[in-house]
Amino acid sequence: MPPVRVLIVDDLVLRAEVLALGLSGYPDIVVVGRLRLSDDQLGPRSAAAPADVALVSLSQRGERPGDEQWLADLADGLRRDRPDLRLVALADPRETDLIESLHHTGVWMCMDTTRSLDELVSFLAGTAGRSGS
Amino acid sequence: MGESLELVLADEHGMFLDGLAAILTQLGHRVLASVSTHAALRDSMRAFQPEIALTEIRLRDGGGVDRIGDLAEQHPDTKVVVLTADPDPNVLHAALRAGAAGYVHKTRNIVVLLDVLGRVAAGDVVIEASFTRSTNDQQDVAPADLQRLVEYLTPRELECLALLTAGQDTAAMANTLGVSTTTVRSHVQAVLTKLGVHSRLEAASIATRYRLVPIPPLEDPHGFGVHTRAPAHGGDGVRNIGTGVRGHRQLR
Repeated sequence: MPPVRVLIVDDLVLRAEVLALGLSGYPDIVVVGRLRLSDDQLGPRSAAAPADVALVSLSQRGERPGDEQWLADLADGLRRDRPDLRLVALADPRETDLIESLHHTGVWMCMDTTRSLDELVSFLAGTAGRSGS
Repeated sequence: MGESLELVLADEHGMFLDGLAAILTQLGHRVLASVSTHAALRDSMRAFQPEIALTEIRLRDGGGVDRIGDLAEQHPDTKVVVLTADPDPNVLHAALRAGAAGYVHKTRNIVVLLDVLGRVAAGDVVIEASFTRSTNDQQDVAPADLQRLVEYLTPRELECLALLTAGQDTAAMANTLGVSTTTVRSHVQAVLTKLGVHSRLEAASIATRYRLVPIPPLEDPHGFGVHTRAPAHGGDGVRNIGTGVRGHRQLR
């Protein structure tokens, strides 16, 4: 099976870099790019990165707009030119309102950020990347 | 790579913690423990006595700068470096007052983090932060914040800021201070970095507006024709500083 192509979307540079470098150590995963949530060109840049999954970090510690419409717009923007792109949200489990609102957006799955990198990789490799293809 | 460091890591974001531990290990450092609670951090510091504890402010069992203070007090041989996503600049100052030896905001990159760790291990106190403020609080926050940032300037850098405010160029400053132009440029660059501004004009603007340095007299004691004048863009300095506060601090 080909590796799952992952696009990391996060406004915190360090967290995005650490996730990208951490994931790059797994043969089942290829990180194809990093984008910022605040990027005005999110859609085109997402389209330019041939990803199976966009890993979107939603815990920006107070800097996230955080409403349902914002999430829906974000999902639309990321998938405008890549409708098959699956969005996996990474969210703090205490942000219950945010997590509940994901049901009404284009986010495919939400993962608790307290989970380990192994668990994330297992999920991405076993489910997210395969079932869409 | 620099010297190998012994660290404990603490963050409630498990994936991030795992990735960071893997990166540090690959670079030759020893990650003695990776934990997600203050209780576990306290235990691991007691057990391992690491050189550096790299920790978020808020962990799974809560958090606050007071916990950082407790750790710093109970483990004086361990340097506590705060690695946080908290957007509040007051947290930075509170952490330093509590005894943190370093502060890195997660908007910085991994290269910066590694540099900070090395410098903290060598005995420096280092800040790497970049805050974005809403337009609503710029007027209220900037002065107090800037006053604190000014505390990180060395006496020589303060002199340079005062001379910048007085309108001196590099050559004049070199003459005034009796140093080379290269040295002046180095001091000025340090001032810009610590104040988080992008130009001399910006530095002079905010220094004047918020009286960060004494305004030089019209007739300067060195006799090099220092003039006191308002910077051309004195009125909008707060907008500029509001786009980012960055600083390096090197106290010891």
